[in-house]
Amino acid sequence: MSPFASHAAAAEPGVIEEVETRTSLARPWNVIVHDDPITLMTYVTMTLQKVFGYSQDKAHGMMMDVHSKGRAIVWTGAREQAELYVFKLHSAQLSATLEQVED
Amino acid sequence: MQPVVAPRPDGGITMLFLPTDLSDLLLGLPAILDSDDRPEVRSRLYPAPSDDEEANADWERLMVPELFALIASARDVMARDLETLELTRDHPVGGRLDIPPEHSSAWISGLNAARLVLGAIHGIDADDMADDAVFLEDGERARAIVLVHLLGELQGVMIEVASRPPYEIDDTRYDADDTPDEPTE
Repeated sequence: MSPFASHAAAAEPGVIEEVETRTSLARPWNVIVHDDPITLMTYVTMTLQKVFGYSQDKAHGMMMDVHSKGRAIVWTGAREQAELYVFKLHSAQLSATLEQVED
Repeated sequence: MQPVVAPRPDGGITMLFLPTDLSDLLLGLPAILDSDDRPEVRSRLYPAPSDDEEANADWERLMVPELFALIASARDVMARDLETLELTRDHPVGGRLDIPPEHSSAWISGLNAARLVLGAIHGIDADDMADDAVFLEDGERARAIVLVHLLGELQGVMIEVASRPPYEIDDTRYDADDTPDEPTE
């Protein structure tokens, strides 16, 4: 089920739905920032500091990971919070996605 | 006279002595941001957040309008500040642009969006950004790449100014001896 739809529309009650919900809650979600050749490195660092409250050193290290590896996990946790962070990163035009941590 | 980008003590930025060609590039920023309904631009500014098609459709419906409004808001702030530049564009000493500190975030974000729009429209990649030869080339695409660099310089200065600690007045220059004498009758 779509995470965004789950906030807006009530699902039909049923056993299958409950099992799916439990499964999705069991594993956390990663917020991933992807490299972009145009966005300034200082802008990425500044945005990570603003969105997550990271120190300058931590944000800079994550930015360098994004730059050198093409992508980096910048946060891991509950899905709703991950969605909010992705929205904030998109608000700053950073290329960001979320994906569930694999078993 | 050389253009000057001067950080202000209050955290704002003043640009002075801007030649008309540079003024025109800056005055064109709102129009660049108006291009964000082109498909290649939309896919960069409003990317899908996951590989779940249903979730992405909900994101497009619920979140993208808000993201769109944020860029429109930054565009409006920039357009208002550029009114001064429009008025001074043809001044003999060059144009002037004042960006107050409370507009700094909108400018930093808007400049980033404008660079991404140009990058999406012209298919600018990492090789293009690293190629200094582009400064010697002509043509619309080469000019777009140069503009991406130019706007990046301005954005970099604004980020640096915004990252500085608040300006502190140095009051150690004054001491009791500097107090004006009492007026004499």
